[in-house]
Amino acid sequence: MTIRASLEGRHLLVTGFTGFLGKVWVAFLLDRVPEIGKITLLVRSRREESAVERVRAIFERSPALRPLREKHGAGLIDLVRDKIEVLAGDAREPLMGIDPAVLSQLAPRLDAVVHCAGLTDFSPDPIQAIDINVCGALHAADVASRTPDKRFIHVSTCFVAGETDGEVPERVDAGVSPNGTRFDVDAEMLAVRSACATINEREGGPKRFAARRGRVDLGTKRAQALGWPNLYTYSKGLAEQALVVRDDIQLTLIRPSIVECARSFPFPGWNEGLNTSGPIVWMCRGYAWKVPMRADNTFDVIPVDTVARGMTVAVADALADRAEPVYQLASGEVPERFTFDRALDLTALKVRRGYVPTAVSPLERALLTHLDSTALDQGADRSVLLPAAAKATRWLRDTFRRFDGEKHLPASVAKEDRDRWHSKIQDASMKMNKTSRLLESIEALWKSYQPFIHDHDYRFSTRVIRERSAELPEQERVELGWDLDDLCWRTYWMDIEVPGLDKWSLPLLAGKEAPEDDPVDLGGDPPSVAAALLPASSAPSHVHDIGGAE
Amino acid sequence: MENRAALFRLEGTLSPRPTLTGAAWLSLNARRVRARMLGLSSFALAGPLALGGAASRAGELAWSTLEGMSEDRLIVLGELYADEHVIPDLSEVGVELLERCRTQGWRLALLTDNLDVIAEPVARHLGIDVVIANSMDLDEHGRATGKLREPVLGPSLGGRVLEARLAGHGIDLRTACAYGSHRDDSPLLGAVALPCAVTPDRGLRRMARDLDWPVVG
Repeated sequence: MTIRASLEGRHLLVTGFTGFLGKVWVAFLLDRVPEIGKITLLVRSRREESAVERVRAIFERSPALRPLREKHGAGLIDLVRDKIEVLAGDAREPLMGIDPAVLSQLAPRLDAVVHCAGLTDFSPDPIQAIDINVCGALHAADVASRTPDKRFIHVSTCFVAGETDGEVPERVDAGVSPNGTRFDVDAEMLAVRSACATINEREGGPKRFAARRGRVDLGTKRAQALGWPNLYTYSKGLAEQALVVRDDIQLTLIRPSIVECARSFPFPGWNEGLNTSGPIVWMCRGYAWKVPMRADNTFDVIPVDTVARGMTVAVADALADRAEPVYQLASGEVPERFTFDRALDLTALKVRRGYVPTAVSPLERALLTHLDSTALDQGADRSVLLPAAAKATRWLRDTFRRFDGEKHLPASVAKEDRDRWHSKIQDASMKMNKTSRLLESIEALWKSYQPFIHDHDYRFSTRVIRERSAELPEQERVELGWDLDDLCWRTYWMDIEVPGLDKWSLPLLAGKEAPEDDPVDLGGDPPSVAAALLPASSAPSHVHDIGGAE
Repeated sequence: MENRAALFRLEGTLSPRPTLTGAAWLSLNARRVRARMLGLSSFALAGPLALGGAASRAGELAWSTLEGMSEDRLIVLGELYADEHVIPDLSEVGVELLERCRTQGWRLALLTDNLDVIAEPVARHLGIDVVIANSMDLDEHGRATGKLREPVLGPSLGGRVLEARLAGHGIDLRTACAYGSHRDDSPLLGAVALPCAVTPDRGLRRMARDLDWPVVG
């Protein structure tokens, strides 16, 4: 079996193209497997931007598509016309919002549905998490069930393993949660929805802050009762459980671990959004000298392009009707296991090489470069320093705020001086307020990461992808197969991951936008893909064949 | 011609920094402050030992301060030390001799009893392809044991260990030329066909004069 032969002329419906993994995988496929027949991208329209416009913007500007723009130049439009079509839809809606009439024309042409869309927040609103991660997957599966071969490839996460330790096999135990509790997915979703409705009623409406907090607390408690540490893993776990019992689809589950910066495709360091490592690196570059991690636990990071390779192998297997039920894409089994201790050490060494915030004094720079972060081997819930520091800054903030020049300064002090002191102390109060909020958010972040960086040491089995990759012909294995065995963590972390996060992710923490490429100039009139993104007259009303004539 | 090699001792001939300085710098950049303090106190003992003539014992003590340091840290700090402290301070005389040997078609080799993690970046900078240096012994977790990997090159380079290491690179010590600066280099200079003392210390200068070795600088 070869990947190219499996994918040749095939037609895939892909969701989640606007996400980090989705766009890298589609770009990877278009770049490395030009034999692919057609990719229909199901994309949600926004109020200010249609699905077609969103896809067009990604092809024109996203760095993930840069290799295609560089390779094809003005000819990119021909590739897009040939390979891509855009379908407006929403995974939260039944049949992903696709008009049944459209679906009846589209479904017979589809060879598989690949569902990458999902919510990746650790603490989302439980209703939103269920709607997107569980119902979204079920709606996508409904579409797959209407295709001739009923192939459905669902992108999940390794962390559906929940609160467990040690080896995580590539299987799903239907109806059993990570802590061994037997449960029913439908009943579970119903229970969460009705409890959330009660909270909304009690708090005076779903949009009230207290209602949202109540829903998140409730959902988190429910997740933890079943052995999932948070709402993200809970909703992903429920989706797997709901899918695995369906007999109207041919299900293949793909479970990546922590998806991080690209190793080589689209180019080294590419990342999008705030992933798990971003805040950790950001804090270790600052004053986080004692980090609430367990030093020897595996930090299961995987480059996004390695996940794209694994997905390509899994989808090719599914199309050849030889897929295994689960493909875990993780790095814990590479010869050189990556631990949190090593990640901290390498981050500190990167700081030594001059990777420090730019706006710091020479003294601060010296401190930051010479005091290295180490693992505390203690969970954030037992941390004393951070809550104490937050409490102290709050106390200072309140004390400063209460300062009144008239009242607290002797009468002999001139009015001008009083006003100056008053203003200075109020500024200090504002700074303390900012600091206390920062400390509180850091504490909350460490607590949300705790299950993954301290409490559990996972060893995700990757037998399937390694075996399937080994079966590939030499050239395909190099171009498309599993490529983790020769990974040097030192080079990856110091030369790719940290600079990649710095460029693409950390600006988001400062409230800035990540950079985009200059829009491609295809030359001529119309000059860009934009003009070619028009609804095709032959296509169903919801399907926009990129480059087709109106 | 294949075996005609020019051997340059790093310490003295190319760099004014002694081996122990590199060990001390690495030790003072250990990950934990406690390890740095322990390193500092060990060097307070190693210095007098080295000055008192017990260079090997001083070396053992110095390297033992790196126990527990990760391979990553050794490599990255080794590069940093080379970039920040060795390369900017390379001896003009030594580099000129090296370039002359290169022009004349000699194969270049860098010899040092320092760690390979420091020597290799220097060799890369100078375009030297053969590096004969010590390596830190690592445990199964990739952490330094604090001992050098056997066979260890002592401060006085020479003897069978060096001969075997050079032979591994196809270099015959007896037909090579060598450049040294300290009395410790006399076994090396005595073993080669063409010895040369470069800005030698008093001991080596006297020996060069007695044995009629050329002296540069």
